[in-house]
Amino acid sequence: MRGEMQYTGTTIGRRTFVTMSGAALAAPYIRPASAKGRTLTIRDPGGPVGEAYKKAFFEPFAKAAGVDVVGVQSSHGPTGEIKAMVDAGNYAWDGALLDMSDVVILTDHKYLEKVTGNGKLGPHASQIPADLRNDFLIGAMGYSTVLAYRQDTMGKRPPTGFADFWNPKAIPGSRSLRKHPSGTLEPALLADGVSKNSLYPLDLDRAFRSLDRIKNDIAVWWTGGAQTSQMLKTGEVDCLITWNSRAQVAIDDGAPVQIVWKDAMFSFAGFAILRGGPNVELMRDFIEFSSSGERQAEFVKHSTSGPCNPKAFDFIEPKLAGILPTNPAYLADMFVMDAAWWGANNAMAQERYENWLLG
Amino acid sequence: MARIDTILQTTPIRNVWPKWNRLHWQTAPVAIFLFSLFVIPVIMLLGMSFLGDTALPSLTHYQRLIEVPLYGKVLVTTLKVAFYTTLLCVIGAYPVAYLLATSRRSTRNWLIILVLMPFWTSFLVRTFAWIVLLGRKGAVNQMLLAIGIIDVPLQLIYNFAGVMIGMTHALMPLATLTLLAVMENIDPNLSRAGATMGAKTGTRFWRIYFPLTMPGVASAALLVFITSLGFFITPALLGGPQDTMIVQLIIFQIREALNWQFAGAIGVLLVMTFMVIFYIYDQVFGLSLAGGGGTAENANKSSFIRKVAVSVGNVVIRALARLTDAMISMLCLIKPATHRAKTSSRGGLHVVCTLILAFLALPTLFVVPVSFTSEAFLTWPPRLFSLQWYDLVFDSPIWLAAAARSLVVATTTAALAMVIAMPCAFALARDQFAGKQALFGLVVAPMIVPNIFIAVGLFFLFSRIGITGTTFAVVLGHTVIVIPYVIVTILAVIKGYDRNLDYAAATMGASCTVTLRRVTFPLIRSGLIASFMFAFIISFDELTISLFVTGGRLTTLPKLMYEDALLSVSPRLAAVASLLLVLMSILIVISELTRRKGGYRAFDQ
Repeated sequence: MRGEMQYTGTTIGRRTFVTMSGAALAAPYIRPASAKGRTLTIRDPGGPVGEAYKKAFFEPFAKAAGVDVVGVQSSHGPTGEIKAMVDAGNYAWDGALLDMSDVVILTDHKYLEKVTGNGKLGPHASQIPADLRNDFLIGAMGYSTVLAYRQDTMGKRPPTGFADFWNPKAIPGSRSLRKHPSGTLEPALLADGVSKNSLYPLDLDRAFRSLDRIKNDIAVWWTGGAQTSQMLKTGEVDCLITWNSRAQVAIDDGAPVQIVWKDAMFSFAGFAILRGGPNVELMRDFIEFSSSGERQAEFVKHSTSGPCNPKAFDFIEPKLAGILPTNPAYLADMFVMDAAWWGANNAMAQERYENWLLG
Repeated sequence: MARIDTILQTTPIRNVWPKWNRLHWQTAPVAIFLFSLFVIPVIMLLGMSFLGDTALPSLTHYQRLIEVPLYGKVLVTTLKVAFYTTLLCVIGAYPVAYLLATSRRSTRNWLIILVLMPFWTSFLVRTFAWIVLLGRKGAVNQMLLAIGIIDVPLQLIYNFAGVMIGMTHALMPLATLTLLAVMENIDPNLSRAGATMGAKTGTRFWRIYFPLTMPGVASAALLVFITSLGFFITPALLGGPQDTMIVQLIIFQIREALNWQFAGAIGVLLVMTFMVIFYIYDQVFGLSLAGGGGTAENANKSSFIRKVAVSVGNVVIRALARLTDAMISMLCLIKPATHRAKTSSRGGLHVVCTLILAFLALPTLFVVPVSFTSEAFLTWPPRLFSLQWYDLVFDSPIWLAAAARSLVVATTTAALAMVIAMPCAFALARDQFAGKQALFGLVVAPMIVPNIFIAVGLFFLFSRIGITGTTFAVVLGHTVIVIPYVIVTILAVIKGYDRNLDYAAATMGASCTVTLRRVTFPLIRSGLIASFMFAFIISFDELTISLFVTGGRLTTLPKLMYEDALLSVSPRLAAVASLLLVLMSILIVISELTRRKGGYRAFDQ
């Protein structure tokens, strides 16, 4: 049985749909009869910003397309679930919000549909810079892996980049690194003098030599993002490398924490379509819809991820724009993490990293 | 005097139960249930590990396991963590269980609330509580610095000690309840009889009481050991860089690398390692055979390992008995009156138990004030006073619905597991039949196989029959993983149960059902309650299976708490934990009050 979540019925035409612009939202939209009564189920990571997905994307699309959109939360690495669903032909989800690195792994195994189908990208999706999208995923929100430190303990001689993080003698303070190679090997190489333009493919030998130098100075090896917010808030460590949203949570709660945007590592996430599901065309319409600057700006109001569509900044207040990782002022100093390299090498790098930690 | 071997194996008695009982129909529900919902789905998944990249039979994944040193090293770490956790849990739980078993029932119920405290707070809340208590800027270091005992903060967590604190705290309630279930059924007159024959306190404890508690010790150790093999979040949060558990590597392969074949190979390695350990353990403690298998011939047939273990055990116990007696005599020399020595030994027990209970209750008691903080994080000292986190819980229909669903799922799971597993536990404990060892292996297997395999295997099975995304599917999945806990706990109690009571009832004309209802059940009631509670709590705290079989469509309380903890360590978790604590305490108090009014009173003495 292919499950109760399958819906028969003709798919709505993508072309008819994308003619709708962001502005048309306010106007009553003429619903395609074929889409009526259908349900689109989309996975999001849930949690504190869970409401943001609903308000920015799901509810407006439901209203505009005349379908039901159900947001389903699964917080932890959804790739395993997607493999299980596609292999079993049981589509509990039609689409999912995924990180670009997840998409690389999933497309290797042919678990996703192309966002473009046979046609070309829609007008909104085309506005998104080419390095923030590929055939299977259009970037909707971006985040950065940054250096963050406590101003009260490190304010006198603050770290200005990863080289300082790697130099505890000159810049004293207790440190924490992630117990995962992604977003850790890059700083190791940058601290060792590799330029950010020639990082990939990562020189693992050199990265681990660089990590050797700092291993004994790491007080805590963190595993979950919430842990880093907590550590910054309580001052458990003085500086660490984490996602900008994690540091921001501590700042918002009054912790004296500063984010260093220099050499920040940019990654992005967006909506992708499960291969062979019953609502592939409708998902494509949804993705085009969610790529508009206005929708992405709405999302930012409820979270601290940056929009991937540059037009979104037209709708964002300057004060909020100041803490967003895709702010053009910071983007110049950042680089985009190579999801393709990570997709191909994640397992190997992880194995070596764990082994290095043990030895 | 009691020898370990004669105690572990009950007196041989002719089977007086009706003939139909010997067909062991009562093991059928569990066997069928586990075979279809556990064995088949898991074997199909683990079987993939014997396929190469081209889907042809191949051992490449096993080759990688051997060639890459990481997996062997992490397996050793995992076993080391599980071993020390087990040791600490049993040593810590024994005096507490003893205190509980020898207290008045009303006192006992209050103490049980304390023992169970760690259970009512989700494991994530507990772990974060330890971080805030024991971290560099934590409450303990703050206090020690303020008093002036230390100048530099102590490194209390982010090392092996941190792992032990977190895991012992999480698992000691399991050990305590298992031991308590056995200790409650030990007749205090046996010790008194020893005393009238001149045995001193130490001898009475080590050579009479302690051997009688061995089935409980063996079961508690087994439950804690296996459960700790599956832990990975607590060691990751409280441990150092070396404290990686094998399940973490499996989850990485399934969730991030999508290499299910290799994940299967690691899973097979874990299961095989455990089977070797379990074989040796079973030989030493006679876990699966003790009870019904304890005929004289069987004792003679028992293996070499067991004989060695029993003689070593007897030597150790005699030595301990002499040592304790000597120590008490020394004490008596200092304080001559003998009755004083007796009260001081009880006083010593109180001191030890107070410390252990404080350890168990500490993070929870810390969570309650933190839930009233006005800040957005769990911090110490909390900035009081705000009800915002309670408002957030009560204003959210999602949280209330999730709590209701979790309660329904946990209650149904526990009830279903009891109904199908209890008859099987009786058969395992009392009867001798072909395939008994295999059946025991089957019923404990869901504990050994990491939950993630059960979750993925069930997803494929449930997809085929079209029940994914339903509460029913979650209940079935949870029942699979709680059955082992139910059976091992009941087994421990039945083994300590004097079968002659049943025969006495039978000779007085009681039918099978009447005997069960009026004699057996009341006597093993605390064991049944304990196993029901384990089943309830495990289901109530379970996450992986719920996530997979519903595709995240049904929201359970652990799922919300996990998301909250993963994405923001907000005091809302503390509020939920405090509410659960109050709710569970109220339930226990109500059951205590209603019981006092009548019913089972005769059996309480």
